[in-house]
Amino acid sequence: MRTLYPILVVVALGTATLIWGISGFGDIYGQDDPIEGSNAGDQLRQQADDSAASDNGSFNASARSGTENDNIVGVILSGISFIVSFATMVALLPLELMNLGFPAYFAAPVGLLAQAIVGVGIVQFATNRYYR
Amino acid sequence: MMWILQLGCYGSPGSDLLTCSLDALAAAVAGPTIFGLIAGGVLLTSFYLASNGGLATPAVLTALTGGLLISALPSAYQGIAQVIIFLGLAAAVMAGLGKYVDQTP
Repeated sequence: MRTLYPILVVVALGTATLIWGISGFGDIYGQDDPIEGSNAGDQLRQQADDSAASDNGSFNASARSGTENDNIVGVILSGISFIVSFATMVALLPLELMNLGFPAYFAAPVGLLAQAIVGVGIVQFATNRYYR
Repeated sequence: MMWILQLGCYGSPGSDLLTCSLDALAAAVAGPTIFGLIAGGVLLTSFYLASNGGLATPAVLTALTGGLLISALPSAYQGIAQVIIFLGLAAAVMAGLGKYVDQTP
């Protein structure tokens, strides 16, 4: 089961939100920003701040989980936690759809469906199987 | 719905025909933004179906259509065009991700 598409949709929406918000496109035309208040951009910015790459290109060793990566078990554990935290970005999908303007009776079921698909993907990754 | 049959806006002097129709359409849903989402979604879906499953061409066409609509729509309804451009931008990012990232199950 190809379970990457919901994550790709969320990442694409979040990236477009970030591009839209940073570029200031809505300010040129004097309109209120239609995607203002969406927290997907804040979430992506938070993840970017937590990563080991710093702003000036150098490696930021004290970014996060500094002591977990000392041995191979720590690397595996931090890798699994990274995968899980990446997949939980899909939990933002109902909020993102609602902030885009969709009503809650549409956004919540669609987000629930996406979360179910991504849950199958996490099980596939953890058990190293591919369910058809 | 009775507000569809209220044709006084079209007949009153000095009124704008496009603004009259857009008032009714935006009032039918929750506002201009969600009307733009619906219109842009239908536009993107139809372009996607017409291009036999590719997503790059619908993204470009949707963004260009939104860019045309910004100057064509009345100033109170430019949010519709902005949302259509946003949908094109998201579809373009999705096309890039689908081409270069999505090779894993």
